[in-house]
Amino acid sequence: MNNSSRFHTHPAEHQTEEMARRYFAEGLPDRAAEICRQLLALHPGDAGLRELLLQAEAAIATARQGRLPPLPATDEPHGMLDLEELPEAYGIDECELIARDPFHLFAYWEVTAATLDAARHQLGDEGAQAQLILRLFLASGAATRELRDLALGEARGRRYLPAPKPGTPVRGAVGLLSPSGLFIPLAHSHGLRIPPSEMASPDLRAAWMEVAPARTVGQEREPVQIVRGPERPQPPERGPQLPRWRPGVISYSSKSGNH
Amino acid sequence: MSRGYLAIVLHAHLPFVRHPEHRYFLEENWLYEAITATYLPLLEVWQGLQRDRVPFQVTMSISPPLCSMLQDDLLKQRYAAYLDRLLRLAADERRRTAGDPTFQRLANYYGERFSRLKTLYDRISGDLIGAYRQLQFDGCLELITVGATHGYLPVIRQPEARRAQIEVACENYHRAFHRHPRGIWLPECGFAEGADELLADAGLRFFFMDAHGLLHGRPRPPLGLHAPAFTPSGVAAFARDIESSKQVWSAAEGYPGDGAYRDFYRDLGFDLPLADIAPYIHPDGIRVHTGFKYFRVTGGGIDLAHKLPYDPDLARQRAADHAGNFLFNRERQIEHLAGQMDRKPLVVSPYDAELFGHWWFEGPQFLDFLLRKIAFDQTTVALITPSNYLAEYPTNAVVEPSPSSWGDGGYSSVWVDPSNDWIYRHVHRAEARMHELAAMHRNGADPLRRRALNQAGRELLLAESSDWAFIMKTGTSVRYAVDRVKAHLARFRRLDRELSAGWIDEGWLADLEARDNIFPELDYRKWA
Repeated sequence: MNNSSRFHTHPAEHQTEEMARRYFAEGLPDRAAEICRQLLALHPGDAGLRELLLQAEAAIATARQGRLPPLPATDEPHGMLDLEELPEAYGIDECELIARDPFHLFAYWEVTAATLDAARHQLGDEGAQAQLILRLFLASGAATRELRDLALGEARGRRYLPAPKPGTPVRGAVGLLSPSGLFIPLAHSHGLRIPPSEMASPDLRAAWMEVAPARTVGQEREPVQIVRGPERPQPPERGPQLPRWRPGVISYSSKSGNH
Repeated sequence: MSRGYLAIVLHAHLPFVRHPEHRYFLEENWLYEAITATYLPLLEVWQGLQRDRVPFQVTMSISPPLCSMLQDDLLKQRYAAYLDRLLRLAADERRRTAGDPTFQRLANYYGERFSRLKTLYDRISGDLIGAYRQLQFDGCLELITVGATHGYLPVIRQPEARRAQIEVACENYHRAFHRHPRGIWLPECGFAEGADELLADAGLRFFFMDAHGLLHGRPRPPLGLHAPAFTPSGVAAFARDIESSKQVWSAAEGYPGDGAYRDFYRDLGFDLPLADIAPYIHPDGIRVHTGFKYFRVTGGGIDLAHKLPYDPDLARQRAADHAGNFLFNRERQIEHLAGQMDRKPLVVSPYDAELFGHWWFEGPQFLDFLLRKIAFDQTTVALITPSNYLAEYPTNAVVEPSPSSWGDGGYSSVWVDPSNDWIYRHVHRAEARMHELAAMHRNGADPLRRRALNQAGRELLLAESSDWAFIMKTGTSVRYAVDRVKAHLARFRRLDRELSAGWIDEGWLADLEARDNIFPELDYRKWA
């Protein structure tokens, strides 16, 4: 599976011990220390890096002792303008699911203390023992069926969980589950379909459709115009003639094809 | 008469990075490096083919953030200064390498290259978008759009927010290219159920998917990957051809890893003593890529210190060889497919545009050779654009594509990962709040309030960019990506607070409009 080359990621080939030593020698101990920390995260047992980091940190401390923090060289702002930390909580009841891949879901949720208290109150004697859970439902049309429960513990958070089955439509709800099995949902996610992990049905009798081609030059927005279909043709007597091409199966000559 | 078609698709995108509050901003270099390495060299190739009357058709997506930056006066001025700096460095390098014929030759090579690019940039008056628009008008390029800020649709929750990514993109395209786009590159090829309906509503005729997105569709596409399929809403899905992608992309088997090609990592910005390179790197002494790279890949696993000097003639010959090999393989592939289909097969080969020139320095030369060979050296393969293929074959099978992306693993694991998943709760909250604000003011608002609502839309769009999550996952420039998400959401929340309180700080709003100036004609009612 290929991935995008993505311009903005300069792979960290310059984050080397050699580069850290150069920065240190050039009087930039903070840059040297930064590279050392990144490399130590990958190679925590590297004594040479650790020694260099200590030297760089000592140099930074020495530089700080003798002077006040440097003033900005110009009237430019420091760092990103308008930067603020994000709120810890929004004071709402919510739950959301995202399909990470055919086998994993990502969930985040938040339930307010007031909502939890009200739900526990509603459960009466069982309220104190009720557990906050994420319940997954099969969500196909109007039908719903419970698929799985996951204990949450915290009133807000995020977590990965195994997906019930590739290709399944699911919905989630955060709620309280009483010891006797009564479930009070407190927040619902949107519905989603977990991506399938393999080819769909071998039924190849697709319907066909004709769409009017876009006109050629200088057009304004024009609607997609379905001219005909979808129509499912009569089953052919011997089945459709299908391409048997499978990428990578046929090997071509590797010779340079200068024609 | 050809037996089949090849659609080359180049996806050009950079995140919106513009910091007028700073005289020098490290991440703005992404744009300047890409103009120098990719967008100008590709333009040079397209114009050269035109000049030599070589018929060609290539599809290019230009994302709205990139389009906006290429049209921005401040960034254009800064780019011109960047190019001048390169020319000064070239002069310094000619002097420094005077006693060494190998490196003197390379210094001269770069000096001539940057002079040529400057001449081209001056000739088009810095208007790259205008130059690409002309190529589309001449029928050489089909330009398509991309999600407004490269928002990855599978993680955008609010339907109105998804719609806004598509609609705003189409408007941006119209403003730049003077017509409505026919196709779209879904960011990261991220297809989510229902996305095709948004595209149909926006009048878009086609999009691209990774191969498994179509192969796993319902029902299975009867013509496989080598013909488009219509989604039930009538929009055509074109699938990426696996083999031709691998020949170029694959780290192990791909062309760019050939030992003759220029090495990306070894750069003068990291090689010269600080005192010598200081005028050409970050003012704080942070070493950066300068574009002067004197070494070649040499071989797999070779340490940077042991690379051999670059030889432009050898690399050029290798690019010609690889173009021939690529074409040879496409001919065999098409001959094989043509015998088994009721129509001419189509091989769709999409790549990030920045692969050509930035990562793979000889990539534009490869394309130049390839397009000339296709035109003159054979008759099996012809180039085509998606629009022209649909005009020739307006009847196609109907398939419901499967959720997918072209990221690692084929789904969302790059953008939904422990390194970046904290984003979504906050972005989704802003999406929901934007919808509420827009619905509240559905029937209009006074001018100041309207400006604040529009700016809130811009901040939300910028926070939704898939680039931030991608950068967090890959582990480079993480601090910048984290700060960008937090800053855009903080600006959004402040606008929300001020709109709710009925008091808007006009001075701050004006400053914000001047800084995050993407999409000047945005209308907040898209989120209603």
